[in-house]
Amino acid sequence: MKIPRIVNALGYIDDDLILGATGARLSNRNTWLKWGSLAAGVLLVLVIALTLSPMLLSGDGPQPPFDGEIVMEKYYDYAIIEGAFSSYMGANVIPADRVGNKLQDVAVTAGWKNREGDWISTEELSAEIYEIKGIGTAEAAALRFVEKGEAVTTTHYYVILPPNAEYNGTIFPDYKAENPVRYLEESDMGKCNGWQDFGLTGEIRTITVPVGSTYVYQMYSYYIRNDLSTIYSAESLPDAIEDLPEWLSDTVTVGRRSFWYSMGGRLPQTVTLKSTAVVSTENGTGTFLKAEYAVRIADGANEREEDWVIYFMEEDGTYSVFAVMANENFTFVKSYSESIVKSYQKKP
Amino acid sequence: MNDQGIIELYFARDELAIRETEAKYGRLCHSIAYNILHNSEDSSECVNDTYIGLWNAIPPARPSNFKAFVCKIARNLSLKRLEAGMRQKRSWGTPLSFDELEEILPDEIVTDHVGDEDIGKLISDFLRREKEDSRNVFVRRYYFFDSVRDIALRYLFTESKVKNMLYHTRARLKKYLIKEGIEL
Repeated sequence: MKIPRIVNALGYIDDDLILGATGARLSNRNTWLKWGSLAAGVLLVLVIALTLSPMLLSGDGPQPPFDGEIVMEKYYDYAIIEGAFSSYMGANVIPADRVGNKLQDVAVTAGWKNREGDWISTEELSAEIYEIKGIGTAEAAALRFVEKGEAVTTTHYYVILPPNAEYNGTIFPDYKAENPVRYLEESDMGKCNGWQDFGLTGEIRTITVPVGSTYVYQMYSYYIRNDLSTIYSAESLPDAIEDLPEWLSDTVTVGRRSFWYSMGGRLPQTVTLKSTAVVSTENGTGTFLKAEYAVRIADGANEREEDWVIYFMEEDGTYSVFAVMANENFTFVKSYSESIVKSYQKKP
Repeated sequence: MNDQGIIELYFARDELAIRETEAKYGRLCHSIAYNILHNSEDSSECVNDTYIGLWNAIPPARPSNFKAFVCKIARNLSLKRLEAGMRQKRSWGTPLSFDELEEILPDEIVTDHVGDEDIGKLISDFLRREKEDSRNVFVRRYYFFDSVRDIALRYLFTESKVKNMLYHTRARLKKYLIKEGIEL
């Protein structure tokens, strides 16, 4: 028996037709409810989430603005005073084992700038420039302060980049190593039905039902960060979890965007906190602080806005984060991610 | 990682390209293969073959749409494997929707000088004239080989509505292909 020609011919249809069918078109809630009895598994999760959460029934309209809208009054910056690296700008922190030979001593002007980028106060500090292993100094170098500044350490190596540099993933740590995945189950569809470590002692069920849920998986990207301090080793995270959502929306302070960079290797231009809410897990063993963001990314000439829902949890002073970016229908993804965090349980 | 970044990794002959492809599109590939083969082991092998196919194709190819490119390779390889299995008279879990498609254009009536690519172009032209829902349902059924039930779940239609849409789209496509002189 042969494959009919029309089947092979369909393999030649245009790309945009294929892509058009990889998205999901979701109808209104009434349709969902009408379908409640049939939509098992993932869809049932959605119906339950919608039913339980009046907030999610409010439709696709914009969220009310967060009362504490971010106003960045000042930020700490530094600039090398003269020499080959004087045009370089400060960036992220890099692990010490990525740093190579010392290149030279430099003097650095450091201090606070206002929102317009003008210096408010300055201090002059001595520092050292190092090469980054495997990367030419035309691309990036590392700087370590010899004298401690008000908001910089003498123990960390800060990446410095030439003007208009492309942030290069090779100079950042591989955050995947800090996102351990523990699957307990496998189905015919592969490793798609299991629990993942979340927080210090817990786990969340990331994919509820494998059958027929492939498109759900395609609708969002998620990232788990079990200890935010591993990303912000050079900075002090806020003492109160309530301050974290706003803290992470700062795109001005040097290195503050590391969290966003760790999720897909892109650096956002702006991060707008839209709303926050407290979410309790179904079994009452945990509480999440939920924050919704609008994140603007400029990827070359391709500028776009992404919707993110981020769930924060604190255990013994350690912050863990479950972050979800919706690729498609935001309302659906929000309800689905909510069902995931509500599944949180202490590890058996 | 975005698709452009993955393509760059292929061009750099960096094997991370395959890992990134797997992370981003592995499940999509598996679902395409599984829909065609209905066998987990064969599907996994097809998905691996897809990665090798991508590795061999890029470069020189630089697909303008990587996701669609991945889908095409996964679909073609799965169909080839299915055909090989059919020759060996292997039984497959669930019959595909070939009969429905053959109704539109039986092999015996297609002129030899018309290539599959030409037919594909005509089908694309036809689908562009269809309503978005009908178009997507058709592509899900006959490109991705989704079951009627999965399509109904995806688009929140009843199964009978999906069947009805498919029936009418097939009828319109058949008419269109005849009008375009695709048959003898």
